[in-house]
Amino acid sequence: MTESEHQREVFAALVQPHLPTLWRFIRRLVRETQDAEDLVQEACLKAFRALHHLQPGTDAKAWLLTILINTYRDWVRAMLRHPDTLSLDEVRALSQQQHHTQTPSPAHTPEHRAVHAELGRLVQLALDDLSPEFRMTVLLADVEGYAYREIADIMGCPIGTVMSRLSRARHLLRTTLQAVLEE
Amino acid sequence: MACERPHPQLWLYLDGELVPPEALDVAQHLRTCPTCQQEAAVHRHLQALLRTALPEEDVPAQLWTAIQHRLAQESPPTGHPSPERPPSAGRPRRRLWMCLGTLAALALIAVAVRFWFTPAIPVVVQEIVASQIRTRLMRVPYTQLLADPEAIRQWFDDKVEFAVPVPALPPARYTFLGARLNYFLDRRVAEMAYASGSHVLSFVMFSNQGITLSALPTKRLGHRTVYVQTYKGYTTVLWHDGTIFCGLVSDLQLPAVLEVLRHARGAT
Repeated sequence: MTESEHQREVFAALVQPHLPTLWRFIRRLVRETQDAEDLVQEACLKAFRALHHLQPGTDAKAWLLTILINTYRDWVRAMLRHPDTLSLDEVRALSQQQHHTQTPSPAHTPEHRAVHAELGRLVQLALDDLSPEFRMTVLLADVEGYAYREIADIMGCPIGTVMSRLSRARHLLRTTLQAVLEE
Repeated sequence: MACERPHPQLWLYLDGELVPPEALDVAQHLRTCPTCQQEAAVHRHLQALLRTALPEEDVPAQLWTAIQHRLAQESPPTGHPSPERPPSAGRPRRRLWMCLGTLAALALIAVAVRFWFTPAIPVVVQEIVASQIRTRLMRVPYTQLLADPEAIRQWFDDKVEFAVPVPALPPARYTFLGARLNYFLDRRVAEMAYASGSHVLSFVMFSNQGITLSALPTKRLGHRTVYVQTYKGYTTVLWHDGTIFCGLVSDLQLPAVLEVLRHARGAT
């Protein structure tokens, strides 16, 4: 086996167990499946190139999430620089989100949704209303179960920022999902 | 007995960020307070919703294949020798590997030695930072006072057992947020906060009895030596003023915090 084959095998053993986590995480941030696939691929490529920087004993999942988050942030920045690259689905999603936040018709009240809409869709809608940085913080804390310090390391921000984002994000989620939570 | 508002440390407790004895205090409180029980139940319900209600998607079958395809086009990560050496280079390559192995072992020993000799974060730094996190999370208000050093000193007169060396910062650059009495390390702490842009700078002052700082890195600031330490994303700069222990803590980077101290008259 050549050295490069060995490297790829080491990388596969490191990444494959965490691929479902990376996929779940990016799908909460990006609507288009193709964009999500591109981002995970790009993040994996960056991780492979940086494999020699990974210290023994490092939490591989946290390391991969850090790379994925940075890849996502770069992608958002590029999108903002070139808005025409927004896919049709993204535009539709953005307009739906605006409609959702700006003109809540009686048929779209939280109560109505709680009764009629599918629970998962409702939770996803509540998450979509959060800004990406808030969404990532709450996902890392409440879905992935990371501690404040770990989230600060993954997201590259002070722990105080993590705490304030988490507090605000949960408050917003509770407000949006009030009807469900009181059931 | 029920709280009017949820216990300020409830979220830290529910997130597993508290350690005994604080964790024990909140756990005991939670057993008897219906308000906090209700809050905890809603919090756990929300977490459960986020964990279970969101639609789960399987990883697309072709994703790993696509990743492997892209990896195959990559040369091996830098920092590793090229694998495409001719077979005749076997012996030198083995020697190279032995050299690299030795270097790696030496590097590992160096890291271990450094880790071994790196001093632990002093308790005083831990306490100062923890108090900042706690008060920020609890949104403990400051007492609004005139931004006049003499008025601030008088406000602390009957609250702490020493004359507080109130810093005088240029009001054009730093907004005085207020003062408050804090408590940690079993002693009363005078605290004054200023805002610089979106950052908060807190001066903390308390009796220096039983506190030593010799293990921390130092910086020279005017005529005074200050100790510096970054911990949990906060920069702390500490110094002695006679029998008073003074600190400035902020989420600003060290050069910016030192710059604040250069502007502060009276504090250093």
